[in-house]
Amino acid sequence: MRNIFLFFRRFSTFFTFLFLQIICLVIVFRFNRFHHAMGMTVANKVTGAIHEQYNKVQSFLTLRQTADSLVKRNAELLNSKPQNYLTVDTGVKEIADYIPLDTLGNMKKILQYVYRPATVIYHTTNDDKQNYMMISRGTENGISTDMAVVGAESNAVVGKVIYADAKYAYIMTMLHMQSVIPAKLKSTGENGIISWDGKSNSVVLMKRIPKTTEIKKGDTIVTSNSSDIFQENLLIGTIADFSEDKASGNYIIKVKTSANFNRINYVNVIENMIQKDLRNTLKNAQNTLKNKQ
Amino acid sequence: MSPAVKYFFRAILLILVQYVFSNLVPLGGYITPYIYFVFILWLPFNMSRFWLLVVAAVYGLFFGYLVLAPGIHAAACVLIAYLRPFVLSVLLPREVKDMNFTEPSFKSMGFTPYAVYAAILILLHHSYLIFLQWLTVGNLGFFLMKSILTTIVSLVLVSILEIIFVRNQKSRASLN
Repeated sequence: MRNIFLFFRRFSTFFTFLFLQIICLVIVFRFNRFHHAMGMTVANKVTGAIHEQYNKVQSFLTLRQTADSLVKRNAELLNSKPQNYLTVDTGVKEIADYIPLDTLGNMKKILQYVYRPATVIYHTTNDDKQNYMMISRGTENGISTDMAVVGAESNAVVGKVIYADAKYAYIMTMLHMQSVIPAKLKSTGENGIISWDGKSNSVVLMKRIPKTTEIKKGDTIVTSNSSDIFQENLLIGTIADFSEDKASGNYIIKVKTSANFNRINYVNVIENMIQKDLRNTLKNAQNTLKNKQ
Repeated sequence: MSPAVKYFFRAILLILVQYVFSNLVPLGGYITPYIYFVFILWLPFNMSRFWLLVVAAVYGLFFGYLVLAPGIHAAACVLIAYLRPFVLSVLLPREVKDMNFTEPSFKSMGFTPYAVYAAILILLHHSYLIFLQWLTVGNLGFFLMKSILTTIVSLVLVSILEIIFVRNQKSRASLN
């Protein structure tokens, strides 16, 4: 303490000088219009820079929340796509307590496909037989087996739900030996199936396309309508290479997947709302056929 | 006449002289000759450093408000008041207390030491003043040029003042 006092005493003149200088400069910047303006400009620049840096840090810290909200928003928008709605066929006159038109006079529509966002907890890509993916949604969030899964970024097919628990679901990705996905050429509409040979985690095989079809590299492959799991016209990938299978006379097409399996953080699970009805109808039809025989 | 009254009248007189110089003597906009700071150069040797600073600040503030640029002149005056004892101790090898004269002047310090003393303080005063007026060094060559030219003009004015204002300097030795 004594030393501090001694220090102040020793440099008392210097501190007086500093004090008076500060008073003078305060007066300069307070009472001269030019200096005041200059001072404000500099102060604004400095505080602006600080605010900017602070903002950067803050936005970085909230990046995850932002991403989450964007994924949610994206799913909402996907839910409102017109392709998700089935137009009810009103060609037949129904005598029932049923209004085919809504209050705006439009044809009544049924929501057929519902998108639900989910976060990928972990997934494998390097297994040569079975690659799978776990997501953070389960039956509690309306996810059940036989639902299609697409990447949230690319909106391209990833796989389908095989098993769902209360909170988590298990997805068989396209990179699985047992995965079979009905697909078609977007240009000609030729139907085939997509499977995997276990060789590369970005290439799947398309089979059952006859040699007579005109194809070229870069053609787009999308899902076909021969499945009650996958919505029609979901992107699968593009043709990377093709060769002829001499035994069957069909092409074997190598398809580069549009979904980047090495980097999937968010997916959307698509539910087909009329899947159950379709399956019931099918079962009943088959039973009817059986009974007739 | 007591010294306080003497210095008070000297301050007022110097400010009037400065007023005449800055308003009536045409030297173009490039050089503004300053003379008012001579008051601080002429303060007595035996004044304590604290009071030197306070007097310089009050004088500078007073002058600043008079020329409608408050604070700028005070800052420069405080600077030279702070540095004055250092410059004096370098230029005067003898103890200040042994001086026969009360104030720095050609007569008391000798021509060259006084000229150097005045030149250093004037240069510091003017550089700091110009810097505060512009708030930027800007073109360094122009800045130095203006500082040095103004210093030379002020130095000439100080010399003239020394000749005109014959200060009745009593030597301390003779007082005793």
